[in-house]
Amino acid sequence: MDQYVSRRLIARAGIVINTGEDNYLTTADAVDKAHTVLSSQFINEAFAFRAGLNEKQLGLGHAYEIDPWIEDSFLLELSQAQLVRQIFPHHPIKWMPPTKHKTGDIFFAHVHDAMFNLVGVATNQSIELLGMFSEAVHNPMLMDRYLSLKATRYVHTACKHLGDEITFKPDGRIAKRAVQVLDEALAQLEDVSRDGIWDAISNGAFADVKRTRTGGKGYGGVLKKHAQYMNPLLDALEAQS
Amino acid sequence: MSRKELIRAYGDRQNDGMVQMSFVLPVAPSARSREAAKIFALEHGLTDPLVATMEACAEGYTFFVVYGGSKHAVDLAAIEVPEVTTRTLSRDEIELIIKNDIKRKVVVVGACTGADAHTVGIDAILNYKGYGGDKGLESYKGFEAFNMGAQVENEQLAARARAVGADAILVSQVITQRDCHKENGKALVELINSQGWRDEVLLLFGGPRIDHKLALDLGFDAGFGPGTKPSDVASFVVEQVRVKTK
Repeated sequence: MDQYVSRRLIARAGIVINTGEDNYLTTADAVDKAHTVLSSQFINEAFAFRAGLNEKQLGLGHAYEIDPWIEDSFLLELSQAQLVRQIFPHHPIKWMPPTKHKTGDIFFAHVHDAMFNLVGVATNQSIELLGMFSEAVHNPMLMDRYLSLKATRYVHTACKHLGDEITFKPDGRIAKRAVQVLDEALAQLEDVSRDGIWDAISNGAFADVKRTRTGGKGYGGVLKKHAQYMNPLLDALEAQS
Repeated sequence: MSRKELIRAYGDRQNDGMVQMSFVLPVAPSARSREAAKIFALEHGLTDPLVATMEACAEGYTFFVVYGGSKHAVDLAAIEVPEVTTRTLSRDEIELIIKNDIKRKVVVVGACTGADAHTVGIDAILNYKGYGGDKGLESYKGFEAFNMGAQVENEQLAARARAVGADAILVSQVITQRDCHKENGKALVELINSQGWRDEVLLLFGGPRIDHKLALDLGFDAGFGPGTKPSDVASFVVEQVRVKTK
């Protein structure tokens, strides 16, 4: 049983998957490495299509993880969110709230989450996860959940059609940043295509985390397929598509 | 007897004691619930509590925000808290000390011991992601960090630390029911003492209810409370290891 078999099962079952590219930004810098999320979204999409999934099943992930205190951080987030929305218009993309830059200052974190919600509604994200101001403190309590839901409802109601009203200046900061990220993602995909995905991963191309071909936590569970490997389930799943 | 140095919470004027508190009571909103919230605040030592908001947050549950003046004062002069005195160094400074003075990787093993399954603290310090934008020890070139995760027995932790030649052991304790955090911590110190290698290793204790004083009382070398960043821990460890190396 490998990921390809899992994806075949998912394709057959017709359920939506949520991919985890957004997690890169919790280890790598969310400004410098934004393109790695995009290139990984393209790779995950390609893996999914090969296993017979359709675009409506692909909750490709991205996140609001830029340091909130850098100048124009909101513009950079807006740019990335809009870029992903436009590139994958029919995918139920998954939009993750800030976690990395949260501290015990719950009052600031509540504002931080509101800005995340604003980007989410302005760019019509599909699967938006709820930000929690007590993220860095404890598992959310009833009052935490209540206040987060209330604030999110406010932003989503107050800005419901904001996305339909916005156009971006073609030569403005937001559009230029989107083009830059797209260019960097393309360059990275060309590198990956040249070096192969294994070498790319072991060189730390994604998330600044290096996993060698024979390293990593799950290595013990990886087996080479026998020449006479047979999986009647997989044969049946492949025959259907 | 030394002079008292009483301080109270500051809202708008010196010594007004103003604080805000928010909480949920398991009742539907009503005039009676509002009164219950007020009494709840009074019982907490707030004078003239103002119930600023009362909202249903789920069926049969009400969320309150209350402002009031706390009558409690604290005597600063009577407080003695030993603090970790190491200055927090920058990532570059830490890497440089390891490279130039220690000249080998600093090995750190961490775990949540006993029944504690809350890895949020040990993960924040050791794992790459870190906390509040401050990356974990795993991200440093000069550190070799092993995070054993949750529900690790003291024997396992000690054995692993010994096997990898750990410079420091990090114990995280989030659960504090019946003081189990103190017992778990103390048991590790006693175990390592009885095995006769206490001098070879730094013992660090961390968690939301832990401070330096408690850690010292239990026989650890340092304690780290809420808000501790990975670089605080890294700074303490490299300074101590540097001293030992000399």
